[in-house]
Amino acid sequence: MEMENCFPLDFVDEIVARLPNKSIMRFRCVSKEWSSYLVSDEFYKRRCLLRAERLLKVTSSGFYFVNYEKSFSSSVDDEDSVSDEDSFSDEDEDFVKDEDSLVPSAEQNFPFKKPNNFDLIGSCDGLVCLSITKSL
Amino acid sequence: MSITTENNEKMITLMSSDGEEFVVEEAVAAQSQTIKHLIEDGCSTEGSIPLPNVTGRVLSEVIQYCKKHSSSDDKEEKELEAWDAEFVKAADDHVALTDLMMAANFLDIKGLLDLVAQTLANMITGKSPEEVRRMWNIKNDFTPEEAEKVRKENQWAFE
Repeated sequence: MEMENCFPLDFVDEIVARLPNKSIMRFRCVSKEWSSYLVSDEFYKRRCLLRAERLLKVTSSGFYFVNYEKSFSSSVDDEDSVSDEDSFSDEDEDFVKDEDSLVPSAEQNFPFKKPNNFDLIGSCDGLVCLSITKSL
Repeated sequence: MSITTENNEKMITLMSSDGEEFVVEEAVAAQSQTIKHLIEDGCSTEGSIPLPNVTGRVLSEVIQYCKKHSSSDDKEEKELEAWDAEFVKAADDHVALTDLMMAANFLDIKGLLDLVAQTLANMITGKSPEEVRRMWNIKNDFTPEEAEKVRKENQWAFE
């Protein structure tokens, strides 16, 4: 699929949902389409989902709940400068940085003997869904 | 076309939008959920599987990725991450990466989609709206007044 002279909106969320809030709000100025999409519920949900995926890492040694170091320190003291539509709360500016630089905040042992048998399907509000890929 | 190699690995043929044919192991092609479903529906038994949305150039890169990821297991996670980093580096620029992302989306290869989208996100995180428009030829359809208003609303993001 070669790129044509435009960027399909379908792919905006794939990329932009991974950005820090500051970049997202700045990119509301790109075009009308981006502007309305980036404050839509649809985009917000997509972003939450991506974030949940990234907050939980499953490795062969256990679960890691990744604690993204807070470094968001934008001077948002003038509340009028942020529109009411801004549904994103303060969070780390480091969201897109390499995961290697992040510290696992908690480590849980797998309650099973052979952790390599599992795939992470997804997680939501602390509930984790694993799939057993081989017999134990 | 469904043929079998000496080590009993089933091979299938993929055809790009520009008519280029790629013969790959079924396990490699099935990294793509789209192709996996086509195989399950019996589309690989007669001739090649046409992929009308992916050019040969992009498809060969996608196959490279799938080959690497179907032959590695969890133990090689670090090595695989390093390989991924080299892979996106080789794609060179945002145009090639965008093509790759669209192919990953069409072929439904989650790992590749995540990898490429994250690379593009890292690329644009500090850019201005003007630079983003230029990258993807996006038309600025704001009137000067509207542009000023949106900019004011999000002024903190420019500081």
